[in-house]
Amino acid sequence: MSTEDLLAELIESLDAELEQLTLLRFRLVVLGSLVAADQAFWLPKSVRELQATTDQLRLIDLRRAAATSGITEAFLLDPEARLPQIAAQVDDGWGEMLHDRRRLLLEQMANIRSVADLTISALGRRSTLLREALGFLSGSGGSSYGRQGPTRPQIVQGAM
Amino acid sequence: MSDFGLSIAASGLNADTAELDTASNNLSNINTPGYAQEVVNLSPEAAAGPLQAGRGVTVASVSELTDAVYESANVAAEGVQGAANQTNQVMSSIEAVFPEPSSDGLSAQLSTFWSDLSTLAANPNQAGAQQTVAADASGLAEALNSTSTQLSQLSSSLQSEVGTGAADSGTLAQVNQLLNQVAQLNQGIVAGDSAGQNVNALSDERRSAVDQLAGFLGISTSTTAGGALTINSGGVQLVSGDVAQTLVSTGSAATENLGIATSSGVALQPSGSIGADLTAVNSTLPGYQAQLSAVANALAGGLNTLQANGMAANGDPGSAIAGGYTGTILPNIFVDQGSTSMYTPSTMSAATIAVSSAYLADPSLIATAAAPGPSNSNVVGTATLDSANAQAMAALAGATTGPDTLYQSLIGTLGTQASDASGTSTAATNLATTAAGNLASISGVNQNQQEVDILSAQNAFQAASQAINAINQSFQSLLQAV
Repeated sequence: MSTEDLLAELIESLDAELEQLTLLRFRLVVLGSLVAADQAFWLPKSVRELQATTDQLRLIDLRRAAATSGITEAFLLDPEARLPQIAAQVDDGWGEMLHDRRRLLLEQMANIRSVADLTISALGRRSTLLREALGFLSGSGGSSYGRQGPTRPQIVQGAM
Repeated sequence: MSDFGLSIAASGLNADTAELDTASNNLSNINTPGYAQEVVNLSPEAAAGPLQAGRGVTVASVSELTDAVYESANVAAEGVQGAANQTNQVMSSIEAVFPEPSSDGLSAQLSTFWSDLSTLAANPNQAGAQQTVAADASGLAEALNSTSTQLSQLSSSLQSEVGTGAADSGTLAQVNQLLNQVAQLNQGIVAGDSAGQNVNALSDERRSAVDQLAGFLGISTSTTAGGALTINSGGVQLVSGDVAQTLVSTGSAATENLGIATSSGVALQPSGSIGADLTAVNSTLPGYQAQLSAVANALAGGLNTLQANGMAANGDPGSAIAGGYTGTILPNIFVDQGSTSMYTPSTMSAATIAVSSAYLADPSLIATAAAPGPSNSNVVGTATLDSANAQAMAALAGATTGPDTLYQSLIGTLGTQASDASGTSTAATNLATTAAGNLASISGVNQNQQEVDILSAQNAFQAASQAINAINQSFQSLLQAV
């Protein structure tokens, strides 16, 4: 297989990875929206879709790793070489394409991280509230609420 | 946030926070009296952008789940329950005043007294038998006095329980406090509502005050368009907007006309526990006083009549047959307290009946023998062992209008009324429980459902957190490559 074929395969796997990351981001936004809208009933379905997207992403990443391995071997590079190192060894056209994919991948991953952080934070806040509520129900009382606690909730008033 | 999807998520997060906070609030108020479950009312954000896509949801308001019909039924049931329970309590107290059947009861004392007279009839000139009759007659009078006093004390204590309406420990003072509270809450609710604030906390507080008022007075309520609650009781408006009437007591238990009126003098006829107190003080207790006095009057009337128309064993005559007799004339056995000879029957005689001091000083002054007549050889002024009159006295035990019959009638009436009061109280409690249950099914917090909902949500959140953490792990390989 020529180096051009190997580079084409790498670009193709990077594009597939980008597409899968976009899908992952979409499904994560859906999950976050469901959490935010308190639609717990749909969460398991959303989680399954997210897990399927993540599994698919792992398979695509294996293809990308295989293509990268062929290129590093052909160019006598470190097997752990990153995209900028590969781009520096190839023609400008291929190099530019690799830089573009790299930028888009990093952007997409940053976006996904941002949504993930937001959703994790929302989940954490809810879990704390629910733990308080469950503690109250089981009689041990919560730290924020209690039978002898404030008769009216400042949180609701504050949230309005 | 620039991402369109994320701005939906962000708006949803705000809405969700309010919803979860509301759920927690509901749970923390499960045991708060008058608390109505809150629900978050979500409304969609207006669509925007070229595709007119939805932009998520916003929290429109947090409202209480209540139903006016059930609310009214609950208030009415509270009033009925307040009245029934208080009546039941009063009847139980009256029952305690009449410990029947027991050796301490009036019935047993009457029975002993009739037995004493039968013994005297067998030994009309025996000092011991004469002494026993006099002592037990005195005991009977004291028992009637004591029973009457206990009824009067019960009446007085009920008046104290109602109080004057001023700042004392009476229920009327509590009512005035609650009426003022409702008026102040009305003011806060109307002002808060018009300013778009959440007034549910004030509504809960007002509902709790109204429930208590209903139990005390029996009330009806209506809500104005602005959110103020108008309260009426016994045909008088007690709270209108932010103005509350002040109630005072009128009359007294002693004069059997204890009443309630506004400070401006408008009388009202309350129900509830205060209405039950007024009925007890003005009607029920005077009724039992009158029945007890009828027993005293039958006892005194029957014995005094026989005493006046008979002769003592030593020949001294009763007042009706004394004629020109110059020796001792037999005194009345029973007299009014403070009087040496007169007995005046009245509806309060049980409180004033006493044994004449002259008879107590000389128990032989009892007319055991019949008046001289064709059926005997009795002569006024001459000693006799005839005991026909003592037998007639003992026979009052079985007289159809005698004290025993009247007393048994009183106890029968008391038993029936107490039983009715107990049954009514149970029924009223059931009614109130049902009404409260109906209200709770709408506005109360269902703890089990909330718990299940929370556990399900908690599990779903946990699974979502794990799935998101897995994304970070799947990025590791890619991050090392790019």
